[in-house]
Amino acid sequence: MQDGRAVRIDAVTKPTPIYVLGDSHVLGFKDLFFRDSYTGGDYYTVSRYYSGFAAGGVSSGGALVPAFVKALEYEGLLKEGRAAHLRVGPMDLAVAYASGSAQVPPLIIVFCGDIDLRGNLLQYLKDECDLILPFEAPYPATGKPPLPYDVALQLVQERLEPLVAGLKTLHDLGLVRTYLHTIAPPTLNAELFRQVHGFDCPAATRYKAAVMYNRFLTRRCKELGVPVLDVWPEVTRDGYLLPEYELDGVHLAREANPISLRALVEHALNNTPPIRNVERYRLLHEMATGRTDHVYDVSTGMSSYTSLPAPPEPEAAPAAPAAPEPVRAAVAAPAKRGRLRSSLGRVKRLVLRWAPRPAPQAVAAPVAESRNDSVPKEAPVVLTVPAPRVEAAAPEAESADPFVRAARQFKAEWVCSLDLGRELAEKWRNSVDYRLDLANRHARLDWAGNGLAPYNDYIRTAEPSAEFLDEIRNHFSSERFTRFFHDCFGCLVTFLNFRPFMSLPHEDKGVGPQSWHQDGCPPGVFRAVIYLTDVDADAGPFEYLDADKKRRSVTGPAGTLLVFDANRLLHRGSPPKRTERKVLDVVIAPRADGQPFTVLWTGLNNWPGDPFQYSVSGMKASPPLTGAEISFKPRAAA
Amino acid sequence: MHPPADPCACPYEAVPKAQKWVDAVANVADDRINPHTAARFRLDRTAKVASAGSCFAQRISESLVARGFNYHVTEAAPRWLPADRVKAYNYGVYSARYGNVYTSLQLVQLVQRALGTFAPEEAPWPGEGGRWFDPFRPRIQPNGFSSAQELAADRDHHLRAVRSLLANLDVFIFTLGMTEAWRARRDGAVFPICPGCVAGRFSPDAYEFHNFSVQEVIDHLDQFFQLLAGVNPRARVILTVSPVPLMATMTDRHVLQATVYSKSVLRVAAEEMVRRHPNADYFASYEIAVATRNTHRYYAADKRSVTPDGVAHVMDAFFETYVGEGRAAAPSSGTPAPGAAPKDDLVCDELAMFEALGKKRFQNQPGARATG
Repeated sequence: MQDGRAVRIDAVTKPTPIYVLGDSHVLGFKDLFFRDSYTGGDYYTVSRYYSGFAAGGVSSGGALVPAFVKALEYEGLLKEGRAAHLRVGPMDLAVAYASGSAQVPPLIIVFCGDIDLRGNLLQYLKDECDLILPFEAPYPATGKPPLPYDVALQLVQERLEPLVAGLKTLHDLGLVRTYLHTIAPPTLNAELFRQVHGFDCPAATRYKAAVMYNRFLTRRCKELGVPVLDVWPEVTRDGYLLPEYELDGVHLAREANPISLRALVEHALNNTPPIRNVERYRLLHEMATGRTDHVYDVSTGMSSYTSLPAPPEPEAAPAAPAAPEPVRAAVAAPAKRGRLRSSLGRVKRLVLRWAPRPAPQAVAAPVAESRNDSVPKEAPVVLTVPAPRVEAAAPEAESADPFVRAARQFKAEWVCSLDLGRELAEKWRNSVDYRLDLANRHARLDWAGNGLAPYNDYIRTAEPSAEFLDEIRNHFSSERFTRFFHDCFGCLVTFLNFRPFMSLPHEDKGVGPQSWHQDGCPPGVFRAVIYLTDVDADAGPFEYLDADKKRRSVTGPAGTLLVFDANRLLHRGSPPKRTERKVLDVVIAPRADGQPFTVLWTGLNNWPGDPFQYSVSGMKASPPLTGAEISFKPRAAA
Repeated sequence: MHPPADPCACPYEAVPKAQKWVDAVANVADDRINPHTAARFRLDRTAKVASAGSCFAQRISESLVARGFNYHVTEAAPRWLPADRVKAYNYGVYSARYGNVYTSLQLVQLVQRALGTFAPEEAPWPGEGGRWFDPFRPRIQPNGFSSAQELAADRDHHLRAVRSLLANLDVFIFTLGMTEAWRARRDGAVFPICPGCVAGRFSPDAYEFHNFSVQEVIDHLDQFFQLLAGVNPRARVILTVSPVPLMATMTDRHVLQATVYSKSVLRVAAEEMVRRHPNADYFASYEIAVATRNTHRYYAADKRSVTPDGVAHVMDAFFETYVGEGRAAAPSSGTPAPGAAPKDDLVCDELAMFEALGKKRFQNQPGARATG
């Protein structure tokens, strides 16, 4: 350089793309770069205008329109009929790893419907008909003959149904972060409207039609699970467009863009559970277990195995004890006594046979009340810890080892318990300061977790110390626990999240984890809870519905470890009535090749969208984190 | 009267053929009988002709349109609305969307409401699913209105359209349907159909049955003529009596007796209007259907619905009498079978009411199973 200064290039944080696709309203979003104040994340917009893009250009006859599919493929959003981020072919894995980006659903905003409104319904209404809306709206009658509302609604429905159907299809294909943007408020300038469209239509009629369109779209999208971005509350006053957002009689001024983008990011951060990349989790599970016959039902979160042998008939007499199952021999192999192989590469194929499920054994116990009207009100069966022995129909010898018994119980009932000891529980209880509410201070787009605002004042959490995380890791990486988890899940595990919770007693209806729910965990992910306080019927015990849909309540002393399938079992941490409850909550995931057993604290996040690549900035772990991201290169699917 | 040339001859010697049974009825082919002499006034194709009345009146409006007459409609459907929805929403069935007007008092009150001199207290009837029904037009839209606001706005527009209709028509054809009616005890507002049967909720405290007498019908029709003259002095009125019998009677008489009573009262009242009002004329739909020995051809198997043959004869006589036109083209399929089924497209509240009642009865029967 002439003055001796040199050019330096500094790397910037990896911005997240936001795809803005559709009609001419996308043009205002061209080439934007911005940052959100909550996560500090950077974003950039990819704006793609499709001329004449109307509802019929999204789907037709129940299928996406080919031209639209091509456009999405061009952006790399779809590939061979599926969301690109879900693909796990060798090339896809390599590209994903090279990108270093979490393979989670991309953020997409679709602008569509305005051409349908102005080119269809308004063309019918013009200055000749009025609409009388069946809901509160600040728009006067025009004195024109009212068009029957049902007729107008049918026109709207016929016109817009392909749009909502197409968006639902995108969601079904895996693009679950596809948003529909509401139609912009019309201009108030009648002259401008006439110039653009060539006919007159009173402002009141135009607004009523736009509101009708948006109400229909919002309702249908809600029914189908498609999120909608609605900027009307902020760009209108008394139902009419604010002058500062008027641009040209059709589009909103750029000043409205941050409103749309903030709504998008806020919603995305508050609605993270659907982002789990089930294909990559399935791959992780396969890598960890060696099983290629795993089937995961996305709608229910239930896992099954296609090569599972049919359980014997209950009446059939069990066969004489046979030679030990190969897997059990492998796990308890005398040759490798006391040391479980930690790398899947040396255990080529792990075949597990699940014991057929016996009927659950009930233990007579006091009746506990239910405060949730949606669950059968019959008295729950209370299981006290240690868990009762379950009669196995399979030819397995009874074991005096509580870990073995617990693993068997888990395989039979998808829940089991172990007693870790009161002393340990007390020590851990005293290691935690429950000062934090449930606001997810670590919310980010590549993790599924709680929303930004606390939904409950009765639950507190804490940030565990590094020493505490080390202690947990040391405890649960022991051989006994390694074998136990292997017995339960068929693989080695890691703790994707580990967090303390304190539930205060209250009389209100339970919300969040205190209401009945299934977690929607990705494939291979299970949950555990450790009671740090004595939990009796008044202290909000863990409850679940068993295979017979019978309600069961698990009380136990401090030190009780519960392991359960949070997808299969409808469950809850019942609201404590009189005594506070302190627990440690664990998210257990398969461990990938070469991955050490790690105990992560991720705040109020649950699991990463992509098990192979995810951000960890601001989080804690044992062993300690060495960077802002974790990235593994997965082996290609078999 | 036509006096004979010889003043002492029998007066009947000079009676025109149309006034002698043997010449006008006995020796005329059944389907050629036109029971009219000279009409009081003629229609031309430019005259704005409007109509209202009971179900049978729809046949008159259809025929007027089909024959290219200037059927005056002040509450038209949007141009782009498909034909099936035009019909479903009762556009063009009559000159305005008032639905069927069965009784003389219903007609009077319609005019009074349009002129703003009568505002019934009856509130809109709520229906299932948040729907709303106009008590005075309960079947004007499929499943009512989406909101009370929509109903009110539509009603306002409708009454404005009726006002405009009355002020601008040249000829009004009214088909008198029946004398039996249900009315509100509070203010005497008459409903086209008994509350609670198709929409609304019946209450013996709120509603009462009444069978109008001949004097009452005469008074109602007189009142109508006065109201019409107040807004349109040059308007002419053609009255006709529907040949369709009652679906049911609330009197304790046999339905056939009740029917003949109703039709007789209406016939007498219509005649009285012709005597009193020079702008009134009577058209003999009823006589054509029931008194030309063609009952078996002009009534369908239910002995109530008028067949296409019957309608054709009525309308041929109408156009011959008021327009001077000959018969319409013969049916292309040759002579229709006797009692050929009527067109099943009439908007008939009575029929709808009994269909609804039938469904309810069926549903309430133990062990009832849906069929068909």
